[in-house]
Amino acid sequence: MRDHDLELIAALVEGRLEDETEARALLESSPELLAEYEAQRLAYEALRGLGPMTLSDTERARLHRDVWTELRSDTQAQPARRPWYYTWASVAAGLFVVVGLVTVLNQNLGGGDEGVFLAADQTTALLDAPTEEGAQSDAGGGDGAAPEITDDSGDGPTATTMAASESPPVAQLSAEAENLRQGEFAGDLEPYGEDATRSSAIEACVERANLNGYEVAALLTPSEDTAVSTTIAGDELDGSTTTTVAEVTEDRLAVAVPAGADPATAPVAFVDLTTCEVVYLDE
Amino acid sequence: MTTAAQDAELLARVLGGDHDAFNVIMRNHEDRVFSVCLRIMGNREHALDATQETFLTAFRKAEQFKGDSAFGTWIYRIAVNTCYDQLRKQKRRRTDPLPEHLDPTDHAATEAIDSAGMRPDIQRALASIPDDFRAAVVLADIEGLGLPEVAEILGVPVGTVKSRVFRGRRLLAEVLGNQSS
Repeated sequence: MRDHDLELIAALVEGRLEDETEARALLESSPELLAEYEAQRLAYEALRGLGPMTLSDTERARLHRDVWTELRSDTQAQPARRPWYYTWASVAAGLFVVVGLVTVLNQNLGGGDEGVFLAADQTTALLDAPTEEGAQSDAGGGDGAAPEITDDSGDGPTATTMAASESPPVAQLSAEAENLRQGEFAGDLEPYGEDATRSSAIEACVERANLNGYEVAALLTPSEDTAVSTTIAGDELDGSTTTTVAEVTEDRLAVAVPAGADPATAPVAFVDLTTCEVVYLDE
Repeated sequence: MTTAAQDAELLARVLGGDHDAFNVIMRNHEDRVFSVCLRIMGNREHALDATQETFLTAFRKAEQFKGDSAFGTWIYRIAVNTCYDQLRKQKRRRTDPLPEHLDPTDHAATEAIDSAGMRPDIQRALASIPDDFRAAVVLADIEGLGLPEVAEILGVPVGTVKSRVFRGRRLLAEVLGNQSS
């Protein structure tokens, strides 16, 4: 059957033809097309014969009650949970201070064994101070460094920066965000592929990250190739300790953008699919 | 004032914090949204859940509506996507099967279909065809929307909608023919 024939049959079934001569002649010429027409007509008339469906009064009342109950609970939303990287940022800040002090002490003491022992002794005592500093930064929330994704006001997520803003992941994720905008993204742009069962879990995760109004545009699998990694507190005495995002998240990052936004200029959020936290929001 | 203009004005009021305006929007669209959900879900309870979720999503995403399409088209799109999502969840759970999975002699299925207030033979036939085809024939043949609008709602080209409607009708006819024989 040719597309033109099928189009003609559909138009005949739906009564869209002003002149049915050609279509009728076609049906007479082919039993196969006639059977197709009969099938289409049977289904079309059955469907068109269905009356409009309306809510009952009880259902209508329930709909309004449940919608507003849910929306009211939105306005009492919980404050955003502390993202996982806050902990790492605090640890990183602490260890950087330790490393700096150890280096200074080693230099002052001539770099011998005695210096190392002194540094080791200092470590425990010195760890607390920068950690507290990091904790204060977390709690303070007024220094501009703390990410805060809330949507209570309906204004969408605010600009977010990672606490360790100089660390490689920020630059890397920012680059990935730019790649997405430029259409050069290296990750998976068909986040659900053929497996529809994944979609709900990923979308739920993004929703839990308080990214209301955002939709998943892609998935990013951190790997050695993509080099999305963060150096956490390299201890220069024992060698650098590096933890990749893949190790931290164990899985993937969801890349989400506001639904319907212009892809070239939209903010891009990266959501850790293990913790359902926003790792980074690039505006 | 046209419906589209009314919707735009109401939406502007919602964004300005006037929640009563959203009640008006709901009243204007809830029956049509429910009708689409009911035809796709095949069960009033599930359709009501999907309708509720549709309006929650519409409220939460109201600021993203740019007016490129009619508000009715936009909310239909949300409704269809919500139904797809809930159908997927149901299929995963398998604890609450759709009528399509049930034996025709299953009385619970028959009651679920009957309770939808629809012709059971047609609803059973609708439930038996793939979700994509069902959504296309529901929007085009039952709701009477034009193919371009259906295409916009489903996010596919018009040609794809034509194909889905055509094939959906063919499958429906087969099932209806088998039921009557």
